[in-house]
Amino acid sequence: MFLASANLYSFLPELCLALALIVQILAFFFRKNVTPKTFYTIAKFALFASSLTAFLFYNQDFGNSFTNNEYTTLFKLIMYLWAWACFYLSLKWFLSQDKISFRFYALALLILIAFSFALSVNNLWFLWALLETAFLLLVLLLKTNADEEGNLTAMTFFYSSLPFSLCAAWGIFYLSQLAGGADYSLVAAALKNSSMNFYLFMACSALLVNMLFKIGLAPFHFLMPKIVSSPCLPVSSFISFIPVFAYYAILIKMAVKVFAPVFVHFQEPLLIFAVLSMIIGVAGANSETNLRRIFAYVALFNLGIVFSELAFFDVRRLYGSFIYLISYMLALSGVYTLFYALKSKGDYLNNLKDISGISLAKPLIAAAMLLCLISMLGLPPMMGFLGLFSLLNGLAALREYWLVAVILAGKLFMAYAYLKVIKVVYFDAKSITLDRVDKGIYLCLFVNIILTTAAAFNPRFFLAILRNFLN
Amino acid sequence: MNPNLPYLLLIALIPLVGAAFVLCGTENTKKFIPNAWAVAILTIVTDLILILRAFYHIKTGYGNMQLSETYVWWEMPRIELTFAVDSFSLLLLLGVFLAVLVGMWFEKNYHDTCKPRIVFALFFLTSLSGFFMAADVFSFFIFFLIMLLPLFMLIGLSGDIKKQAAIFRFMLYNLFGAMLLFAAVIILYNHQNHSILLGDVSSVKLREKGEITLWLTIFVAFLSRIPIWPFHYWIASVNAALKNPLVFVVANLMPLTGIYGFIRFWPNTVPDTAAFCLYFLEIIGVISMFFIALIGVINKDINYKIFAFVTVYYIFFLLGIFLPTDQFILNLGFSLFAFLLIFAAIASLTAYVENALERENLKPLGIFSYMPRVSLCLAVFILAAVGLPLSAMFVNNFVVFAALLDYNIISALLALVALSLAAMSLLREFFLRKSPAPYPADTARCLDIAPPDLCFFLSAAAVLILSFFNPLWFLRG
Amino acid sequence: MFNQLVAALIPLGLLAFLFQKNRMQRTWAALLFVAFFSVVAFSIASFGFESNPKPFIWKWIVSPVINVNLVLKYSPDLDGVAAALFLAVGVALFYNSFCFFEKERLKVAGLAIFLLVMMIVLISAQNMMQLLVAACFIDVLAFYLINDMPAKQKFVFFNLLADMLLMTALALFWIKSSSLNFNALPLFAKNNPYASIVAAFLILAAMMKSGLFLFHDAFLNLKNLSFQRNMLLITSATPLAGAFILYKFMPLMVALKWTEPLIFFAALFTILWALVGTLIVNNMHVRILYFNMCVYGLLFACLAAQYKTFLTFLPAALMCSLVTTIILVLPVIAASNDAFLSHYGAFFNKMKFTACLSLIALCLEIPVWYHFVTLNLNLWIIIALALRLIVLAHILGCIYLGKKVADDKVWSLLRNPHLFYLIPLILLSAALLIFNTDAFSCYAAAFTGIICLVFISRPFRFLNPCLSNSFIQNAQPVMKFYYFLLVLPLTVMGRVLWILIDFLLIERTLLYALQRIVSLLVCCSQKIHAQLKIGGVAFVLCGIAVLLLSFFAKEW
Repeated sequence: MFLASANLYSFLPELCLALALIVQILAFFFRKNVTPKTFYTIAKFALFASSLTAFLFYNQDFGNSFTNNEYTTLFKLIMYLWAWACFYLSLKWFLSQDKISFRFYALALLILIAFSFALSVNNLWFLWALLETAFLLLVLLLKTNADEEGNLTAMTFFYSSLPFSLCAAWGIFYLSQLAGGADYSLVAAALKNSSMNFYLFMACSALLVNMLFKIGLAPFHFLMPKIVSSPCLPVSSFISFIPVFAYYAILIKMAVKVFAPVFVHFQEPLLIFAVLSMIIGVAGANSETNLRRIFAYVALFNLGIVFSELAFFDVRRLYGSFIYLISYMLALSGVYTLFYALKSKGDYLNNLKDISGISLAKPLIAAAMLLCLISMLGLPPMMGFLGLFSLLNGLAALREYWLVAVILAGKLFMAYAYLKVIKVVYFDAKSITLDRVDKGIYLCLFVNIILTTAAAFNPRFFLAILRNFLN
Repeated sequence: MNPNLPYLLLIALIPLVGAAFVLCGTENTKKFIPNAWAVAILTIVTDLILILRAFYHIKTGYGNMQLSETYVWWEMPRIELTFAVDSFSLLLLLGVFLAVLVGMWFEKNYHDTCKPRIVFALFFLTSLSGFFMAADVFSFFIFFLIMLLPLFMLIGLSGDIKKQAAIFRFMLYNLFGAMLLFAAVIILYNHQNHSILLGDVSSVKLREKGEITLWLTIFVAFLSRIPIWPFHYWIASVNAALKNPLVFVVANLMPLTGIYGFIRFWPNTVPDTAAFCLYFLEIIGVISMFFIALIGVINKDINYKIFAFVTVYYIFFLLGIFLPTDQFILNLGFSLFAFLLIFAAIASLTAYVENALERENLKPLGIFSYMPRVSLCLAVFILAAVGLPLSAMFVNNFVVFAALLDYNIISALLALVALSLAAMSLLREFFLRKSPAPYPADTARCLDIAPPDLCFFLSAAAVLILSFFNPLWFLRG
Repeated sequence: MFNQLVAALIPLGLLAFLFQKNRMQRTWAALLFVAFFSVVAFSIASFGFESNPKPFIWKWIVSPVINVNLVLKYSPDLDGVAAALFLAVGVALFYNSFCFFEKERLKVAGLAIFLLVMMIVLISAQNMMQLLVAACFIDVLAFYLINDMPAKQKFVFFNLLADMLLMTALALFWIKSSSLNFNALPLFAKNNPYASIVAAFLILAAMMKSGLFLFHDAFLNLKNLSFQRNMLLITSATPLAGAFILYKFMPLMVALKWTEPLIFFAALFTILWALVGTLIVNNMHVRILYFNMCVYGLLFACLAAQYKTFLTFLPAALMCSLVTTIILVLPVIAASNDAFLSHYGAFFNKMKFTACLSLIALCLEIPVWYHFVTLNLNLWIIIALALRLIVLAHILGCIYLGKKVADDKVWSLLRNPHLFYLIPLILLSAALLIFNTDAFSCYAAAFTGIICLVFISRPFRFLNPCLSNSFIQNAQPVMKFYYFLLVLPLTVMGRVLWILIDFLLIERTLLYALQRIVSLLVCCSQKIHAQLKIGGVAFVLCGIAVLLLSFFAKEW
């Protein structure tokens, strides 16, 4: 009894989220005068509780199939914190647009639960189920407050993912047959003892490709820009951050726990995908004028960089890719916060031309944009530089100088896109009048900038903690 | 001086503090611009005092880095920022601060985008100070990269660039150089697993091909800052179009960073395997000098002529660096110090005149008839610029030029021709403006600089002339 | 003596500059002249008799690389030169005090004093750096003395080039011989292959500074300046500096075989050109300049032929140059500043005293030159001197004798110039008389007779039609030569290079190619991502193909 109750602690974070979901449902159906703030408040407390419980019970397991450790706790905390910021900003959107937010918050909580579970499970079938559930929920989320085009995009996304999901299922089936079970340890042992053949390779590839499609790495990225740009801003911001962290963490966990013996076979393809992502990201970012699409391609480019180090899968070098991811995500979250601030006559601005000359009217917003873009570019003393350096240092240690050159060349080309945005914001004439920016958005921006710059000026404290967690 | 005080860090941070003060000011008030301007001037003057003070606390000489300060930025991977100075870097710092002070002087007259310009100029000063005080490869690179942003913002905000594409090319081109240096720094860092002091880079032993690639990368990175052919095009198209004097001065300080890079690595640090680059660099340098000087002659825009003059001199200093000895480095330093002050003064005064012409819709012919104070100041600086003995440049250029003649007489003579062409083209513009004016006296009203401005520029001229009388000051004894 | 003199003159010059007044300028200028005269006289009197005067040494540059001392050392050899300089500056200051068409008397006075200081620094130079610095400072001072813009421009261009050549020569000398002292010259000439290059640069620089043939345009452009400014510029500024610089380097020239003939021929061409110019040019100011150009030609010829007599030849040449200038300026002043010789004639009727004084002064030059003839002066130089005097006599004859062609108004106002204009000429003539009493001989007397005959007969009158020929008067053959040989090719080369390299190669080729590549990439990306279905399938297939290829590559 005592043992069973102790093991339940391992589910506490997820339980908190589930409880919040139930409260939200009850509030939606039974409470009069529900506002977006109601659902946000519930979600906020749930996230706080989840974060606390995840932190406190970071090493609680439930048998072999569900384990928590520093690694899973770290990513859960990251997801919860990012989700919190996302929920807070989304609240502003829902309030200003006067739209119902229940669906968004409910689905988001469900997705968080699914990802949270997926991080901790040690069984391929459970993982598949959870990831597909999360994916389905994402599709439903895409349809939140969507127009016809958005709905079409969501459905296209869903139907496009079906082959990948089915192939992944087949892959898991094959591996479980080979290993005599779908547990990570069994599959890992089986892979260690088996020699690589075509079917085994395809099975592993199916799993990998499914993950890559969901994370949006090239050449499986083709829907991602549209998925990020079509839905409403809260959905777009949620999709840009939470799934990326989740899939990144799960992929690394799978690579360490399951595919370590065979990962060397996927090194070259992953490198090619990474480089392709960078090229497509650069070309796309430079060709677009829609703000969210630009940053969708920027995301693709940066994912390519992250995967360029992941491809080698040197456990000691993971830290570099992780720091890079964190630094890039911090900067991107700053940019997305700014999207919430860029509003004119009640409409949120999407086009690059719309934000010309905002430095005159909103100097703080413009300065924040500048700082975020500097960080993305990798200029010191911002966090982005530390991330870039860490990653490139790792690649140089592996003697992959050509990759260092490719990344730096990519950064150079991507700089053109960033500079275009800076130029529009600072150097072009003012085109439209912006609405007053909510103080909460300024607060978020402030926190974001403080995190980016404080971490840069004194990274030891912050990054040491992260390193301990990763170790 | 308190030995526990982070002296060099203060020199780097004071402009940043000044920038923060200006940033916090409200632009809508009447007194904002004079106050912001006063803060900027005070900041620069404070730093100048600190730099002058630093001279008394170091032993003179090149390469002997003193007043060392180390700050650990990151532990894993270990990144330390190490600052140290020698006479040469202090001289450059002094010259740079004086140049920016001169460039900043007329800023109170330019009300458009004054605040961001002052902020970014001070930020640029911080990054440039950090660059000149960097004692290890990492700090060197970091500040090499940081300074690009304030420069980009300054050039973009000045609003004078007709073709925005020119700014992008300029910026990307500089970023290209920075990325190359980044790659080199990462290779060096990885090889040693920690940051390397600048003087110890030669101790890094790589395979021959690796060494050649590494050093070529570093050289191209530095060359990207200097308007050397074929890289001059991007820099020329931006620099020559800048009308604001502060921005012009700042933009034309960038080649100094490339030159400083060469100074720190050449000749002792560069291994013999990479020394073959010297011949190509020399040839390209001389061709560039000649080419740019010629274009300066045929181009009618005075900004381009000043840019050509500045570029030709920078390449001349670069040729001096390529000498196979560092015996003359301090002479180069003194010459650079005087040169920076001269070009900043010429740029400021010329920009003032050009703006006056544009404002009053006048032609440049004979304009100095109505601007006797400007004419007086410009005459002193232009005469010093063309090589007459009115500054430390005279003796020190003599020494460097003699060394060049000894090393390669043909390139030295070609350099002389280029310098003469650049000087003549500048003089020609000066005389055009000094010709008898074709319009009546009351057409041009109150164009001349005010007496306080005259005092300021005459003080700058006095510093220059004093430097002639004591061209190797503090080297005595 | 020099150090004390310089120490006294510098504050005097500063006073003149700093306390420039618009009112009572003549009074202040006169006072300044008196002060100058007093200072010079006092210095000579007090210190000129010291047998071993202590030099002033200032350790200017002390460094491991280069050490330079600035030395002001008096030497008895320089007596004549110093005296000539004091006289030249004194006369200029005197005229500056009262001549009515000068508006910046105090500034001119200040500049004159500083020029003298710099000339003292130059002539007492014990090392080349001091020489170079002094020469450059003289250029700067002369630049400010010239108040005509075109003249200033030409002056700066020529002298800047000359300074660059001088600096190059000295730099090459220093780096090859590790010395900046003049006593290292003979050794350098013997052992060093660069001696010829150094010599060539020095000769060119000296010729440019002194305004010798091919480089005389800057010299002649001084025609629009007032005569006292011209006097200063000619006798105490850059041209003199050029000649003196060459003198200092003669030990090097002497050791090389080709330099002396070159200098000599250049000097002779200069004298010839100058004499022809004096005969055909209508403008009196230009004639004065041509005569002085002739003097410098003579100086260079003396340097080439027998440079050891230069220090005695130079003062004589300067004095005679002064006399010539004054002689030729007096009719211009008398003719209410009408400077064209074609308007002169029969001035003797109204200016008897001036005419006689001028003729006497001219004749008093003959013993001066005869003295040098007796010292075995080169034959060509003697001929040149003689021709110069003959031409001068002819011109004087054209001015004072012949038919009256002046304007009625000019004629009515024509009279002897004020006594103040004549005093310097009288004093100079007296000095020539006193210092050359032992040089009178029958040959000198015979030549004096010839001069008088030339004065009366005016044998070159056949060239008078050239005075009204506008083509000859406005011709600038040398400048055109420079334009087509140097300026035009440089301009064309600049344009061609700019178009070829900057525009065609970089803008239209390199940049264009880069732009096209980037545009192509962007265009392809747009097209591919626009067609979701086809693009998506293609991408996925591409990904699968990569995976399969990598597997099979590993297998093989």
